[in-house]
Amino acid sequence: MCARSRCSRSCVLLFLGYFAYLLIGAAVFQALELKEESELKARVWRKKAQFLNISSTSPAARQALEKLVEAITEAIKHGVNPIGNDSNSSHTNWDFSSSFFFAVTVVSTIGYGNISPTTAGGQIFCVFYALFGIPVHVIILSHVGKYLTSHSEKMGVYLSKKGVKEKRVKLLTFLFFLVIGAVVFLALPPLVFCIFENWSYREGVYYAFITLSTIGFGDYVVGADPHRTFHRFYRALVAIWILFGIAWLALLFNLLTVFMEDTEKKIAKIKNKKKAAKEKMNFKYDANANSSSENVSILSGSETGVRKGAQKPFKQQESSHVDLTIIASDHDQEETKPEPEKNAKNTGQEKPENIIHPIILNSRKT
Amino acid sequence: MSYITVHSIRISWTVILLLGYVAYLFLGAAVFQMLEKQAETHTRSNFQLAKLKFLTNYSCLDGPALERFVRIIIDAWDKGVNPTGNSTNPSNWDFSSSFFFAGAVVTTIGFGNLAPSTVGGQAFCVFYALVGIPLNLTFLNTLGRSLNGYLKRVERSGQKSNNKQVMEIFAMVFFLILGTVLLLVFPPLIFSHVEGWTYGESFYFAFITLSTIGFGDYVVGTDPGKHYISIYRSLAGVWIIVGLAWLALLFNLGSRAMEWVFQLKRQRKKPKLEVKHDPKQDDCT
Repeated sequence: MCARSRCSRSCVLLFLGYFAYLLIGAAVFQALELKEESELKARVWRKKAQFLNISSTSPAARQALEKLVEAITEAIKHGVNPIGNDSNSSHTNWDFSSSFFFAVTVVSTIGYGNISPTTAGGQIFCVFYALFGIPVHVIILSHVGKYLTSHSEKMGVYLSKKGVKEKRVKLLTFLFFLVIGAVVFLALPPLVFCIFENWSYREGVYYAFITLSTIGFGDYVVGADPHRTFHRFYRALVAIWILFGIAWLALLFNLLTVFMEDTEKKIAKIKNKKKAAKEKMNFKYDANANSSSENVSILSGSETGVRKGAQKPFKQQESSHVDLTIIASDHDQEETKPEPEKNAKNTGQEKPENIIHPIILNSRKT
Repeated sequence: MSYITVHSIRISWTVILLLGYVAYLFLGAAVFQMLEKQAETHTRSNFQLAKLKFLTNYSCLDGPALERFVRIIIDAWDKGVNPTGNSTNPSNWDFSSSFFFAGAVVTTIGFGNLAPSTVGGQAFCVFYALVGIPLNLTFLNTLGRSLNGYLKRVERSGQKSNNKQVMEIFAMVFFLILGTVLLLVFPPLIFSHVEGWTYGESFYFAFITLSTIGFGDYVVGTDPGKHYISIYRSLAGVWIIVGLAWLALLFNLGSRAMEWVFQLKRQRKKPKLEVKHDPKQDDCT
């Protein structure tokens, strides 16, 4: 109906924007990396040629060299460090603490890939392990997220008691959350990595961000250098940092997502002002389900939205309202008075499934 | 009052969950170790043999020279350059590969077979992800809504029976099975055909990719020895995006189901507390 056509128009716009963003990224990455890559390639082929000169130029030698290089790459793919000789074999990638770290990277979906299961049994087990482990991790993250936001909320309550205006309070709690989190999770740990991993500070920050966003390239991994011995507690501390850091960054991404969706909906709303006002009257009381920002604290707002969704697990929560209210954008219900009190009470509710894996959260909002 | 009581219950649930989570990690660690350690030792000794063979065959070489050579190979590999073959290997940063890489960043899969090595590349990557990940989430959310819309239509078409929930569960299961077949069972067939992997490896790749773990041990379209049609990677990209939306829905339902089960148990065990809380819960509709 009308709602669907509106949705499809904004959907198309969103898709185009997304696609354009990917194109821009591709162009920039290419511009930045291509030159370095060709230089590296040239170096490798030069070395290979040098090596062939040293040995001999017979085809047999070239083949033997190719075979050796393949053997080296196979070893690297399987996580075996090809440097050194047998005296290194005491180091393994699958001792208990490394396997534990690997299990963490699977369940948190970071997935570095510097080590990965190579046996068929390992791969099958990995699939099932992730299938059950990821939801468990997501639930844990929601609890951690709630714990993190409770601190911001406390600050928000304190500020509003001091008589600061509501919108200011929102902004300040958000800034507080952002800055403190960035310092604790992104600015301080790289200092530790500088010491333990001998990376530069910039590399430490890059690693921290890539890990906490669960992208996890694997080009940098803590505790992976076979030539260094690490404190027992170092890895454990890193695991704790990962857990809290992922929750924090997921909350941040969720806020940014909400902000993007807000903008999207505001654009749609401007185009359909009158209808939106009418629907607002009808659905104001029913459709708190999908509101996410009309609250004392920005952070708990999304929680209540999801909490609503959680109460009826199999009914995708008044989705007939969803189609219309998406456009009617009950985000504008900031001004209505009953909302803040209602939602302030509800933040104390026992709904752990809140801001967790961003993808999960957003699909739940539907 | 009730807040405190609820709070204390919630705390104990949290502790239980946390303990369960840690126990799950320990379990995983033990099993992975058991499964993989032997294979690793095997690979290691195989490689050492290959190295020794090479050295004995070409005794004019010395150990250190070979080690230096190996180091260069490793460095190349870390930077994404495949040292096998020769200099006519296709670049990893041509436009379609960069596009695929940008997609891997924005969906947080992050294969890692390729990663920015320049300072500028790394810095840009961080900011690119900072904006791109929420954008991707918004996009997936919109896609998920459309998928949900279809599900709702399927549900409504069968809602005339009295057992509402049974019908809903039925529709859900049907939808899930259909999605699984289309997105997890069928594409690996294509991958195994094109890439030369076994079906098990292709399925493993599909799952690891769609769950955004993204090890990077298997990546489509990266074998320098094969020739791919130009839209192959784009099709793979489309599959990834739709699959992500679907899998997120799946995980969401899974965790909600767990929640629902816990809630049921809690409702049965502690009816008194529920009565206390109901007046406060002004949202039970």
